[in-house]
Amino acid sequence: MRWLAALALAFALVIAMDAAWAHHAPPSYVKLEFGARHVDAELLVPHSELAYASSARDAQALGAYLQEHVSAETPDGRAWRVDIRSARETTVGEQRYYSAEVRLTPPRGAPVRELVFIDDAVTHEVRNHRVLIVAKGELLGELQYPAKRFTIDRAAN
Amino acid sequence: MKTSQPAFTSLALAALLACSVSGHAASSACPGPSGHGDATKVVASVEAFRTSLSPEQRRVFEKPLARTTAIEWSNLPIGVQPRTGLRIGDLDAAQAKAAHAVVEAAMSACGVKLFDEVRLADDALLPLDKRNIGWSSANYYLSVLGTPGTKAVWMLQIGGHHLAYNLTFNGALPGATPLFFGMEPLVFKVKDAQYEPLRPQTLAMMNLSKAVAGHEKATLSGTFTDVVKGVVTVPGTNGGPPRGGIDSGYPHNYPGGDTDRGVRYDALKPAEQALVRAAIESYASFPGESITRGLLASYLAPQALAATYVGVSGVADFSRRGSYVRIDGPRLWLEWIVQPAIALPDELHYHALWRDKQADYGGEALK
Repeated sequence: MRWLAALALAFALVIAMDAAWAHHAPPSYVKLEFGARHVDAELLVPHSELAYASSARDAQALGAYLQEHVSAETPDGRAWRVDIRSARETTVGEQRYYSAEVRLTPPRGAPVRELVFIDDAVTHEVRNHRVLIVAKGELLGELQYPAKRFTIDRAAN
Repeated sequence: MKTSQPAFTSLALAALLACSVSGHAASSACPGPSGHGDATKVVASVEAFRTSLSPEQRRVFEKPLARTTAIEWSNLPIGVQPRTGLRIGDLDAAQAKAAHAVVEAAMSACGVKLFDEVRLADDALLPLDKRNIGWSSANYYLSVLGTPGTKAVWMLQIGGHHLAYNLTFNGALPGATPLFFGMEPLVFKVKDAQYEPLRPQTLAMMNLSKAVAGHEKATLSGTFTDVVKGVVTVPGTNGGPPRGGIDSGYPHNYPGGDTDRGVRYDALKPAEQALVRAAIESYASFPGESITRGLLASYLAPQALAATYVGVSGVADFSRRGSYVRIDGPRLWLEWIVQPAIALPDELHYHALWRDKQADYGGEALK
């Protein structure tokens, strides 16, 4: 949750930016951290937008929802293992979010830094919603309906 | 954040409007062709404005033309998305007059009127700004990208909260887009004059929404909480706070085929088709006629209209958040969304976006 903590601290320091969270259609964020054997993803899903897409109202239901809508596979189509490790409600600035820690593990023999990240949480319903994908502070790209697959190759990073 | 008042104060601006454009937004018609938007006249007005500026102001006013500078517009207040460019609130009276002359040269009477009245709307929100969000008629900006002239490509950007005019001159294509406009409050008073700046566009899109609602194919799937091809709120670097939002999603992908785009123009009745054309013209009424003449000819060509779709979501009378209308043609992309208001959460506010799938930024910002 380091990223979330940094976000919260920054928001406490930058009062004017609170207004950003009064924006009525906030995006989701996915921060990816590449380890030796797996990829850890931190997901922030805005409460306001999720409400249009799911009836999930607690961490358990959110976990089940994310299990259905977040996955990964190798470029040749082999599924990665997806573990929802935690899910909770949080507030950043003025905006309520669900946050989740997800561990993505490639199939045996597949490189950990090459994957297709698949995510249509919220976007399957909210047409203007965007999922912004970040690694090492760099915005890799975004997903917006109907797109739900994002190819990542971090072999050189 | 800067909060000083502009040379044109709100009341002065309102008085000027009361004299020049009647002060009541119920009037919808713009004057006919008058050379507004003609590159030669716009260049002359920019040069006159430029000569009124100090060297430091010129450095702020003038930017290179590149994708990174072109996409910097936003529909968020400056407390959320700081702007670059020359702030109207920092101009003296003579400079403010020259700046307004630039707007008058580039935009139609409707476009000038919106520029004036969207700033009045911001001033109406000022007493409610408890978080230094930056609502103010002072917080609107002018920039030129590239070197203004009649041959080489350049852009004029005019904007602030709820307004983004991005005009491209001498580009590969005539460029009036992206053009964003929004409004909060929807109706307001300054002294005794009542303003409803987006009434023509509201009626045009609402009438269209009501008319096509009976067509089964008109209803789009999903839910809409904002325009689909608007600015993107991005995370800050190194775990920093998210940044407000610019057009970093450009160039955008658009729907293709015949599925989930709405009802086709050629499936509509003649009276409904007329409402489509009226809605398109209501958006295109803002830039100068010299800029929009070719664009409208393209959008309204029979072949283009035949392949244009109208999609809707939510309630057709715009009485609830999530009401949405979209006109999606071979080049054209118009959106209209009803959102809850920010300053007064029990009320509603509008966002609207006009994009051209080929000619955003004159087709010049892909390099």
